[in-house]
Amino acid sequence: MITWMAGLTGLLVGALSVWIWMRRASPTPLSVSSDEAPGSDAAHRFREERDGALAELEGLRGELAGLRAQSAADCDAARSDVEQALTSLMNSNAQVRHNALGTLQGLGDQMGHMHNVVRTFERWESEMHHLLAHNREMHTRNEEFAAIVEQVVIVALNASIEAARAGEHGRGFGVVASEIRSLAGRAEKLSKEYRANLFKNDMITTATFQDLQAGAKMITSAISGVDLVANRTRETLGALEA
Amino acid sequence: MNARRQVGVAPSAAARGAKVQVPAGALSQQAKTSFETIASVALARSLAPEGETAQVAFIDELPRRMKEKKAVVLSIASDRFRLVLALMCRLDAEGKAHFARLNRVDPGDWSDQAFQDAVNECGNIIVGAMNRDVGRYFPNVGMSTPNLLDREALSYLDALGPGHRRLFHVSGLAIDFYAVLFVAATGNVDFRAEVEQLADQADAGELEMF
Repeated sequence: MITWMAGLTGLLVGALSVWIWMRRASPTPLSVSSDEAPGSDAAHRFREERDGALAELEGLRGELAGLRAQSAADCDAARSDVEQALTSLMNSNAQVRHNALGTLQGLGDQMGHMHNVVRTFERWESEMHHLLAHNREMHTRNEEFAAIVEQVVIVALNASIEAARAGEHGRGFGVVASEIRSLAGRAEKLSKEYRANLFKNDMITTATFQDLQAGAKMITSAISGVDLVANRTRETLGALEA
Repeated sequence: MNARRQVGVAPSAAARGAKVQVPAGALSQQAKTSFETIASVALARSLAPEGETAQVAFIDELPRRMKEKKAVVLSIASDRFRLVLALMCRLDAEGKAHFARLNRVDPGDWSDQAFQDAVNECGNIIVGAMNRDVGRYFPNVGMSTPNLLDREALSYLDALGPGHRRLFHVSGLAIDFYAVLFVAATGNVDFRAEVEQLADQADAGELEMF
């Protein structure tokens, strides 16, 4: 449309230029005096041409006014379209922001649930402390048992010595003492194995407990990271809405 | 450099080169070296009181007779590995004196419980430093609280399954320390800890950290 209007404007300018040139070229003004010879063909022709040019100019002016009106109407229509599109876009954007905020709210709720789930690890932690305390108690009892076994070995040894001193009369007692020493030896071996197993249990229980505890912290840290990103996104969307 | 290998030396020439291909759930050689370096730096820095210098070295086995009856144990968990560090320590008068100097307190002011807490806290500081270093390469890591075990329990580290073990000897201080590092991979672990400054010191023949 602009190109078209530019062409029309050029045409008008051209017509005006012709008209000005004709005025300058003529020694007499366009308004021919009435006392000029009425039979002058040149004057008559000139008047006709002038009137024709003026009519054409008027026609062009009318056409230009029509085009102006049309282009104004087109502009109004285009502006209206753009405004409608912009309104629709803003509504859509607001909806997207609203949905995103809703999703973030849901995500925040889920994060809260996850934090609660991680608290389960704290419960396990408490139970593992019970296990470790139980292990320590078993260590103590096993040490008592080992001390008793050691005492039994000494008593059995003393009994053997006494049986030997009693000679023939102590022979039966000596057999019993020897049997007790043998039993004490087996009990001692068992106690040592039990002790070793308790140490092994300490290591496994502690390392497992610590792995759980450290794993829970790792998960908490990861959840907090997601939480942080969600909060930042929420703030950014909130700022956009404001 | 003394007869024993110094801890914290730069990764081998091979480890410095192309990325090592490892099977699933395995530690690469440079990852092992990196964990060892991180542990040795943390041990040396955390055990030396102000103005004292620690030397850290690898050893193949512990001495037959040891005064260290207890060990403070901590873990680091990742989605790709688990790490256990145990610092063997003495809960006797000399141990108390060292930890009191480390904490700049009078050992006379410490109850047995306060001393034990300080030992646990020292373990916490060591593994905390390791956790920070390891966290530069692995985004998801978490650390446990310390537990004090009988040293004999460490004989059963193998019960945790296959993994990389390294024994450390910390010397140059009023008392020596021994520590054991255990790392088991549950995924591919391959990284190179950037501790060039430390490595340069080690290459120069000593590993002294303040």
